[in-house]
Order: sequence, then C-alpha cells, then structure tokens
Amino acid sequence: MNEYRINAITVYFAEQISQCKEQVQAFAAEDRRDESVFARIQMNVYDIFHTIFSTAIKLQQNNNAAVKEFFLHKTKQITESWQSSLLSAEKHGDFKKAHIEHIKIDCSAQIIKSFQELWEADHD
Amino acid sequence: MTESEAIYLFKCLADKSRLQILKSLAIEDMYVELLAQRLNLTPSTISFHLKKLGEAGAVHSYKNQYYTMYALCKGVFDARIIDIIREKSDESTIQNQREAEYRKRVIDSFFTYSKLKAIPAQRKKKRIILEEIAKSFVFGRTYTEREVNIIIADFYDDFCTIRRDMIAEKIMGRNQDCDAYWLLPSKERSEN
Repeated sequence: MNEYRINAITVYFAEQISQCKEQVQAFAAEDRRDESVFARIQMNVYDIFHTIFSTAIKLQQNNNAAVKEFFLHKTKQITESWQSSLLSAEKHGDFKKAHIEHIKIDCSAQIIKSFQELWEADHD
Repeated sequence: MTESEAIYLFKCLADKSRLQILKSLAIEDMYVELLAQRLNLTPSTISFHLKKLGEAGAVHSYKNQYYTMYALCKGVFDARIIDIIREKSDESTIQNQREAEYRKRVIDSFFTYSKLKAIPAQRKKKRIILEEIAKSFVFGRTYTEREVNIIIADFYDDFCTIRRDMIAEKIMGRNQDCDAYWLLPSKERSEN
C-alpha cells in the first residue's frame, strides 16, 4: 500500500474539514446563518467520505485497487441517494431541500475529482 | 400584517446576505447572476435567499426578455415597525393561530411530500391527518368504495385502515351495504 498516497488523501480531507469549520464560524459571526449551515453540510460530506476512505484502507489492507474500488463504489451509492432526494425535492417544489441536496452532490463531485487526482499523482 | 407574518419577515431579514440583497434591490431591480456578481455569492445561494425573501413577501419577480428580475415589495417596507408592534392580537386569534400551528406541525411531521409516513397513535393527531386526507374528497358527492380506496392510496398504502378510521371518526359516512361513501358536514364531525 502506497503510504504517501494515503497520507496525501488523509491530509486533503483534514484540510477541507478544517476550512469548512472556519467558514461555519466566520459565516455565523457575520450573521449569515444559512451560509453557516451550508458550510456545515459540506463539512459533514467531507467527514463522511473521509470515514469511507479510512474504512476502505482498514478492510482492503494491502490491496490498492480494492481500496480505490471500495471508496468509489460506496461514494457513488451515497451520491445516487442524494440525487434521488434532489429529484424528489424539485418535483415537490421544496427549494430548501433541493438546495441542500445540490450542495451535497456538488461537494461529493469535487471530492471524487480530488481523490482521483491525488490517487493518480506520482507519489514515488 | 399579522403577527406571524411580521415574525417571519423579521426572521428572514435577520441575515446579512439577505439584507445585502435587499440593499442592492433598493437601488434597482436585478437578476440572480448580477446579484451573485455584486455580492460575491454563488447564483444558487442568491436563488435560495431570494426564494426565502419571496416567501416573506419582501421581494417579487417578473420576466424581462431573457431574465427573471427581482424587485422589492415596497408596500411591505412602507409599513412602520411601530404599527406592526401596536397591532392587537385578540384571544380568539391567538387561539386559532396556536391551533393552526399545531395542525401544521402534526401534518409536517407525519407527511412527506403528501405521503403519510405512519398513522399517529394519539387520537387528536390521527384526526388531524384524517381531516387532511379528507380534503381530497368533494362535499356533496357520493363515492364508491373503490374510488375512496384509490384516493386514500395516494397518501397511504393501508387504505383500509384509513377508510375505517374516517368512518369511525365521523369524517366520512357510508351506507349499510358499504358501496356508497360521502364526506360528512363539518358540524357533524366536530360533534364527535
């Protein structure tokens, strides 16, 4: 298992979560309560995907390909359920829920993109 | 403006992003992308805030060629705060408001997108959700059992239980052969 790769991805998640935490507090201090909630939602998405990545490493141990497959498979399942919720919210005109699902889906897309880049990067 | 409308409006205004949007609209009507650019927020966040402001009656929208434009509802902001504060709420209005709020809380917690999640165990709450389902029936019309089942099934799969409960709660009446159902007048229901 490539430790540099794991470390890079772990650091990525830690940095993003920390950034979101700062945004949560900054928005709240500015009386932008909704934006603070949106930043917290993004932070939760990073946290969930970080947990999936940690679980993938624990379960798949020395198998790089299996770690990647596990992570991408689980995150795809979760994103699909959010997309289903988004469709339902849009169908019923629930703009608040639709906006929240959009935030989660956009955040997950960004995470997958970053994960792929960090995974493929030359860590040797 | 009623007390609850005022509370909703004040809560909506107690947000820096929304105040900034209103300040921009006070200068001129704008569309989402322009507001996003001016306020350094994403268009989706601007849309979210505009919808909230629209719900509070603070802004309205209209079509202008290719854009949906947003404008302040000046009437709302012409109202003086002192007049809103002075507005009297009489006991029956407060009582009705509380009842309406309670009903809304029950409906919101037991329905998701018009689908009933579960039948409440508490009778008072069950009655509220049965009355909500009863709104799908037309007063003065007779329904077959099949028609009743189809209408109720839109809300909840166990239409038999709902149908039976609506009879027991005197929200609906039926004949002895159980082949004709009708909505009972409100007075008969409340005497139950």
